[in-house]
Amino acid sequence: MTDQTDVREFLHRMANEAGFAPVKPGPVVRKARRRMARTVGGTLLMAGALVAGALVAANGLMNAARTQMPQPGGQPTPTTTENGQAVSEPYSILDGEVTFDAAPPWDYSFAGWDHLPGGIGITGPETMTTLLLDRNYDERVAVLADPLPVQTGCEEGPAPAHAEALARTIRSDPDLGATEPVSVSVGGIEGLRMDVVAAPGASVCDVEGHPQVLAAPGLNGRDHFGVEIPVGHRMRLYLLDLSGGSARMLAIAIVAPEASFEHVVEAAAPIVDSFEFRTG
Amino acid sequence: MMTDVAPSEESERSGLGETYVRVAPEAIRLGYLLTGDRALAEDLAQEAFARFVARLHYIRDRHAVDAYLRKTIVNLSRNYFRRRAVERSFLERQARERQQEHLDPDVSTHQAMRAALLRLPVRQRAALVLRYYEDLPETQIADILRCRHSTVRSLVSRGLQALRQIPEVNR
Repeated sequence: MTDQTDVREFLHRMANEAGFAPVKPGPVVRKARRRMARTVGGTLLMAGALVAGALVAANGLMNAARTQMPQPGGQPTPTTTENGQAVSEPYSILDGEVTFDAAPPWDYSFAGWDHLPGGIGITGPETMTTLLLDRNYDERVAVLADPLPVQTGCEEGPAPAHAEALARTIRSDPDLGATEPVSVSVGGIEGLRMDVVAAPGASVCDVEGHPQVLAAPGLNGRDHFGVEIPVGHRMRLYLLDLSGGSARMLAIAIVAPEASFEHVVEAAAPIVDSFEFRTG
Repeated sequence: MMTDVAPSEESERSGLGETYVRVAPEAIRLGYLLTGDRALAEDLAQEAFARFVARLHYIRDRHAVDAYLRKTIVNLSRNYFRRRAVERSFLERQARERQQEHLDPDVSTHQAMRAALLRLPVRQRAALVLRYYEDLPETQIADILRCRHSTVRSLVSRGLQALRQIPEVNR
């Protein structure tokens, strides 16, 4: 039953087994038109706006927490107009989904970093506290607000009080191996940096068979987004305490296979370096 | 398998519904093969279409709606499974299905094959579907999955191998 012909026949039978009903285009066309109007009319901010959107959404403390992403010409994306006025918010919520006003995907200036076609980051509906950039399928940068530890058995641990507590939890997780955290500064905020790997026999937490290190709750409080670390991969994890706002912590995770890890970290450095936090 | 539909300027404004009706069935079938869930497949197709329309002004090759939808649906399905709550329920459902299969010795080959397909890792499943349902060349599959050609061959091979190792499928 498993030669190629059989598989082909099986897939065609399965594709038709649900008896697809006539498609009603009304709702999806209305949704598409709203989306189109939003996208076309939006301010053309570059990918820096994406992270800014995620952070702004997460941070009541900060009126904006933005990344300034170098554009192709090497100039950072402006956060104010020539008159000194703040540019419009780079994101909005439409139909429960985060919609960013941004340039089309191929204009993003993190050269070499990919993301979903037509999508911006990989936040998904109702999840605006997470941003994910992919370079390849297994090379990615994830940004999470208020991350939760994913502990043995894939259970989410309690919200950590601060970055140091989260680092301790990760280091004490038998499913993970982690280096001693070192102090770093990202966007002017002091934080911790550590490398994390999956221990042999670690709990499998996703359908692709990978352990997970962190989870970020979605806005609906149910659909948590997990950041996985496949065996043979390494994660460079930045943990930043954000004081005074609705989000207490920010995590930036760079995940890549061991073989290409250093190269990927180097490629992701402009993303990490581009964070800029503003208060007031 | 998706029909090559080129939305005209007219369709952008008034023919979106017609365009959707034409492309949606195949998009839904693809989503169904990737997720095994009819309602979810329709959601994915709608979301992919909405994204396509939102990007109409930026998409260089407007004739590539089929390719765009295909790629978006594959990636959306992948992200769907990334959500932990979904993953948990999926894993639990898998466990239940395995249990039911064990209790029911008369399960059909088709059902066993279906369950086996849905138990494959997402990327292996996508590679099999794109190769043997969509009949795409490795180059296009590599582009959709964002991997090398050799990885596509490996994914397909491992997917087939995994199916062969399931007793119910080989009875």
